[in-house]
Amino acid sequence: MRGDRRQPDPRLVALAVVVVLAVAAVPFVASTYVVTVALRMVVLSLFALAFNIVFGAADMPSLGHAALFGTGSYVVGLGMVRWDWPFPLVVVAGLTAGALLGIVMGIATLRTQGIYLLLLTLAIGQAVWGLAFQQVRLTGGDNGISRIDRSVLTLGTDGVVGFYWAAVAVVAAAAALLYWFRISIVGTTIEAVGMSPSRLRALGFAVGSARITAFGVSGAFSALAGMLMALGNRFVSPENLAWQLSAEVMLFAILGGASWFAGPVLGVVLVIGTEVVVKDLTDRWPMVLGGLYVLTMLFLPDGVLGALSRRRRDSGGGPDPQPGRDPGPASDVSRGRDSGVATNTGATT
Amino acid sequence: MTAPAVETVGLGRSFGGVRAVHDVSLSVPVGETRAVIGPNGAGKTTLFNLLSGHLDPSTGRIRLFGEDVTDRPAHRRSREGLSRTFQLSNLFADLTVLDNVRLAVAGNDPAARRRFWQPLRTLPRVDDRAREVVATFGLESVAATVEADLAYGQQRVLEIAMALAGEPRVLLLDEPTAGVSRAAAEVITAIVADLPADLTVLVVEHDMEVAFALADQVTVMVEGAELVTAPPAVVRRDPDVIAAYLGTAEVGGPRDRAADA
Repeated sequence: MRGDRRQPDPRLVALAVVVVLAVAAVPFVASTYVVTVALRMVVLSLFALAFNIVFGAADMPSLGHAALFGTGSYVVGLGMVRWDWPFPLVVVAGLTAGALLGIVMGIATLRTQGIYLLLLTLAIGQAVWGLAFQQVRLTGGDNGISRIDRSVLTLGTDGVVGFYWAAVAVVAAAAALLYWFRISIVGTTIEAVGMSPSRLRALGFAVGSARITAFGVSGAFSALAGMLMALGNRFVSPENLAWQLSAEVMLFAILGGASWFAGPVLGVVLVIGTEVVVKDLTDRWPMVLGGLYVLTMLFLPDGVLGALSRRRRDSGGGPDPQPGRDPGPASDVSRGRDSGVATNTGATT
Repeated sequence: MTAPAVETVGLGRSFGGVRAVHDVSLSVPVGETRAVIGPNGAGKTTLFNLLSGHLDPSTGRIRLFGEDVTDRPAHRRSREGLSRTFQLSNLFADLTVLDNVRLAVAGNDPAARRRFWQPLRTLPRVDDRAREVVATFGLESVAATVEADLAYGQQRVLEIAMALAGEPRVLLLDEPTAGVSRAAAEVITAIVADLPADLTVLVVEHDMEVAFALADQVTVMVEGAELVTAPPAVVRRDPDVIAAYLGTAEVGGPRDRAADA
């Protein structure tokens, strides 16, 4: 995240409250169909925010995050449908499983960067996907697990609107926690890993622990998003673990602006919004998605927020209204991120 | 007799077949300022990377105040009081100057590392010390500026400020004035000259005039090996040193100075 590591600016807090209230008000003004779309956006926003700890903050291009997300989904499916666990146990197990798998990914990729980290996380993700696909007796294989009961989160009513509000509340609380995490000492350390690991070592920080922590926390919150997705759909299948979802969450972060806390959320709204419109017109959505990916890389490498902040800077002329906040990204892109012994070669940022 | 601040025994590092550093045995007493000079490719930066733990040695041992730290990772050596700067700036580009310094203070503050869930700014001790460091190095006017937006000379000053923020016992400075303007170089040289007397400093410096003015002792390295260690006045007249510098293509000022002497 850019700018000073202050406690939240009151204006930002006000904006966040307004956004949450507006999102919560959707069912009052829109159809059930719109609410289901909004529900997907809300849940994927949490996933994208969790992903961005590893991607935007620590500068590690993971392509295995769907495994963390899907692990949460499968713990819900297995725990509630197959094993009949009490709901609190399901929640704890889901968060723990996500965190543990994240830690495993963090340890496995400790010595890698850039494209190698991307391939290794992809491999781990595919292994988890294969497991879910093949353990048919447990997971139902390709058919997945259906009839997940979500009424526990909606105070007895099973309508989509009740669940939507529950999801908005959970995601808003989780996002606030994630923001706190990002400005904390450990969160700042993780961000510093992304900028200059050799310098961080020289200052007395253990870079390896910071990377593993990033994956662990990211894993727990990704799993939380996966749990909400399974409950919302009342269904979980290997699609929740597929690498396509990992690629999609990366697009969310890049398109919105991975250097900003809220960037990934903007990316979710733009991509899912486009998907809804395009799917109405044609069934070639994957092609459009691919095109969107290419165009983003070519024209918006810093995301929409990056382009907006540069434009404000270029056309403004006058001094930045808030010195030290939202600097134009050009300087950061043109600049080598680390020149120490362990040269950091982020492949995607 | 107290143990030297920094001591190496037969220290070596090879990359493939190339011996970047070979059989270097140094002993730097507490409080000394030691300049390390030598032609390009002499192994000065590799030596620093070995000392700081950013590279593992192929042979030899490293002792810090008598304690063997050869097998300790870089961050542990930093916590034991060994601080360093890098030849090329690699600070935290998206953070403000003040946050860069806060992070540097927190790194060597065990209490801060234990309170890892707190926002960096809310630890009064870290914040006070960071502001003090920023003021000491004349960076107050840019405290809220993002590091990437600083002038290069200011980045180098910030780098030294951060290396000193954790109150180290040993400071390794890798070409602190390389690439900066003459004015900025003077500021940095003054900072180095004013460092506390009990701080042990090793400095790689291309500008011989600066190196000789700052150093108590000068170690000359050639092709990865230590050629000679002596006071500046002696090194200036040493025929081996003169020969070593005359034997290389890119020496600039130093050759003339050494040849004149």
